[in-house]
Amino acid sequence: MNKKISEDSDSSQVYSTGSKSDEQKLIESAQNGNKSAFGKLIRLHQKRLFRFVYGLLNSFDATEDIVQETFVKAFEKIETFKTGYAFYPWIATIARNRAFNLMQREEKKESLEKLQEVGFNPQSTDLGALDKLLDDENKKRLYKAIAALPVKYRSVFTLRHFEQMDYSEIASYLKIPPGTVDSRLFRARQMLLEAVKDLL
Amino acid sequence: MEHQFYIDRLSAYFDNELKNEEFVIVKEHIDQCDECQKQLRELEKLENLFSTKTELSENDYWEQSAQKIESALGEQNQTEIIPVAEKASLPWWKLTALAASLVLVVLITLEEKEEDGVFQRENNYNSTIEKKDMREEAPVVIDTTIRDELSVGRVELRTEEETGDLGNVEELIEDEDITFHNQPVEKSKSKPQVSSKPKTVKNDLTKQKSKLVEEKDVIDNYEIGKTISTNKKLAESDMLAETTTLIKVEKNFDQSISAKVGEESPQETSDSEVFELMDLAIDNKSTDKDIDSSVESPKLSFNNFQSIEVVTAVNESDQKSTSKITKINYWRRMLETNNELLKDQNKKVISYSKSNKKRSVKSKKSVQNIDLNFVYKQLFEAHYNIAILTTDSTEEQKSIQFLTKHANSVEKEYNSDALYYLQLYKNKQKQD
Repeated sequence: MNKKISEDSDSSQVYSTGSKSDEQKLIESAQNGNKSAFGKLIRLHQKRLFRFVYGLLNSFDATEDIVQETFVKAFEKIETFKTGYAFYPWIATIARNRAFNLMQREEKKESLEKLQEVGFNPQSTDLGALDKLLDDENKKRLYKAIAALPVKYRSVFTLRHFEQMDYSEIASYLKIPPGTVDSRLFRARQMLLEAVKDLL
Repeated sequence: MEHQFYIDRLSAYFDNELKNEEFVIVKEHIDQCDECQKQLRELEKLENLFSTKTELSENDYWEQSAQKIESALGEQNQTEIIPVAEKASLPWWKLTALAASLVLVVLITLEEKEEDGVFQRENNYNSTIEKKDMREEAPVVIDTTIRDELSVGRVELRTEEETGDLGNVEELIEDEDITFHNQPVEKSKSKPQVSSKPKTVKNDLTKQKSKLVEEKDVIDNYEIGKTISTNKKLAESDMLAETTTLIKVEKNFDQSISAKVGEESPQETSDSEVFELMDLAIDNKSTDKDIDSSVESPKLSFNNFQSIEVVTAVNESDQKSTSKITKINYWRRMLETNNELLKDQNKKVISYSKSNKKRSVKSKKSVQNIDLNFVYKQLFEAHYNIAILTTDSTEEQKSIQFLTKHANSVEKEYNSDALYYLQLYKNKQKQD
């Protein structure tokens, strides 16, 4: 068993339309102000970024906003991007910070504990506009299950599952002890197992 | 060990996150425990399920979304070409200024419709004054001469007055030494009220229009703080003037357009008095018992201005504050007040979200940003001034850390303002 999640399926997809060096060329071109090159970068990464941010925010509108802001900010700061590095982790960091800022503003102040203890009911979750972007009933089930996770479990699960962050990174990012990451992730997985048992 | 001990570590074991010793212990247990093995298999299935089934479907949405983002990049480029204030989401003063410009345009348009020297916009003018009076709640005394002129309806009497007003409006934007509304009065009073004939009126109107265009350019290019600082050197006392400029711009704009202040109050407001006024305003704000109800208002950050306006009224009625506070205390209190505002703002956003459950997060966010931009700007300004005024190195360090933190963070929305004040601080240090 003892398996470390390597690159997730998205990573291969990211570069499926071109080699890594193609991405570097696009980045260099964008750094010279070429908007269409940056447009290609947007098209390469937007789905993955969207999925990740949605996993955190559970709101289609907010995710749209954050993804757009992220790309705009990335374009503004593209000159500071060090060529040779992968593009996605960079924009994912920008998006993640923005998403967490928003989450903190929206939720932390409103008795976070209460929100976190809200009951787990994946059936009642409304996917809203995201529903149109999922062509499969099982996919919808999975997204509903993630969305129904209380915030503290959802954020840990999303960072681990969509971003492959290790426990210490999650702990330091969320400012919680590594042991708490462990227990929250375990709890999140238990809840998800329960919600999608029939699909396994 | 308890079975639960191993269950608690299954997730970490699955993710290869256990330390060596712990890993060995847990592995030994799992090899012998059917229940743990079953759990582990389920975790693996779950992982595979979420890896393969959470990919979002191909859809027209993605192309539309990419185009939308690309067009947003275009907008971003435009703002680079035209140096508009970077925080376009801070439009209250700008809107006020533009609204004032529009009022002027309307007045001019009406004036152009005049026939046979009959002044046809008398009603509009009066109604503007009345509105202003109601809004200000300040003892604004309308120049009786002007009222008489209006009642007579002679256009030529107004022409000089308006030209004077426009001149003031322009100065209000460009001049950092803006004082309260009594200055425009002096200016207009200093001009002789010479009657001019309709031909002269047309010339004046042309001038007014060109001034309006200039004024609009100034507004468009007006970058908070920066225009002010580049126009003239920043004396220490003028830092406060800079803070209050936005307020004064709004005030003077309105007043220079629609009202003339009474002749009996042409008292110049010195910097020290401004400090007192601002301090009083803060006192007023911080002791405001209705703050909880104001939290519901989407224009929370305007509370300060309202308070300041009230204080101005107090000043006009010659009630001077006897308290003498230092600049540093002022900025500390400014800091405190804005921190309170931030707290209140958070409450506001939450109550907003409670009462508008159907509204999207997007709309909540946009409401929040309008106020926060200004609050943060004031915070940065306060920190900057504390840093340059304080003798306590810890306090200075703390303020600079606050600015640095916000200036360096890519993800924050307010970093350009923080960067600006940090740069100011560095320049100041070099000068010293």
